[in-house]
Amino acid sequence: MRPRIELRRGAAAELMKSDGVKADLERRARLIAAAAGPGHRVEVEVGRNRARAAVITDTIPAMIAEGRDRNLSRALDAGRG
Amino acid sequence: MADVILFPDAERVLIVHLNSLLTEPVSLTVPNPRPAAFIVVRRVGGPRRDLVTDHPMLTVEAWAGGPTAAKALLERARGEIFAMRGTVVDGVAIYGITETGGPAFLPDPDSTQPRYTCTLQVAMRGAASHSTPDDGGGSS
Repeated sequence: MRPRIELRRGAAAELMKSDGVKADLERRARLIAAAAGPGHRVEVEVGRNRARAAVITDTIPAMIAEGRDRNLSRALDAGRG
Repeated sequence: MADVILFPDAERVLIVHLNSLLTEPVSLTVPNPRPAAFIVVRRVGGPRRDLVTDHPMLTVEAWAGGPTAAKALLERARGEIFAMRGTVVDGVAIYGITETGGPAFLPDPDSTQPRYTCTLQVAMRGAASHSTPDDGGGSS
């Protein structure tokens, strides 16, 4: 017998804003920031529809490193694990 | 025996393709001497998607005489890359394009030349190179 999946209205949005998703996003963002090197900060926030995390170049050297060598872009894969 | 799958040189695939379509030079590094307008394509990561599909993440950077021209050049390259979907380029099957980062003005710290950039993932098929010899293991 095939499993039956019922989606509860609003459950997906609830899930996307949950503490678990928030923690997972923060963990991934911190991995990316660590791989990118010094000068990157992580911001996590819960928006209207979902939680989100950002890795931000926080110093002039980090901004230059992204502009010249793509330090932060090349670190994105670190967040896949 | 297991097949060894080799993936195409993603930067080369895009560079060859864009050079065949655009008049501005497309390369892996900033050319020397520096042209008035040019494009650089660089792989910045991207994992293997499955056994035979690579999913490289590539940044495309367009430099030109002014921000508007740089943006226009990037848009042409971006459009040509999206049009690669479902085609075979230089012997490589292109399955799909995903945009990771849309066009952005990213000032070049090493020059005053305006630069626009975007980041895309291009799904490309690999090919079996050879098979590994049997290790003689088997089930115990």
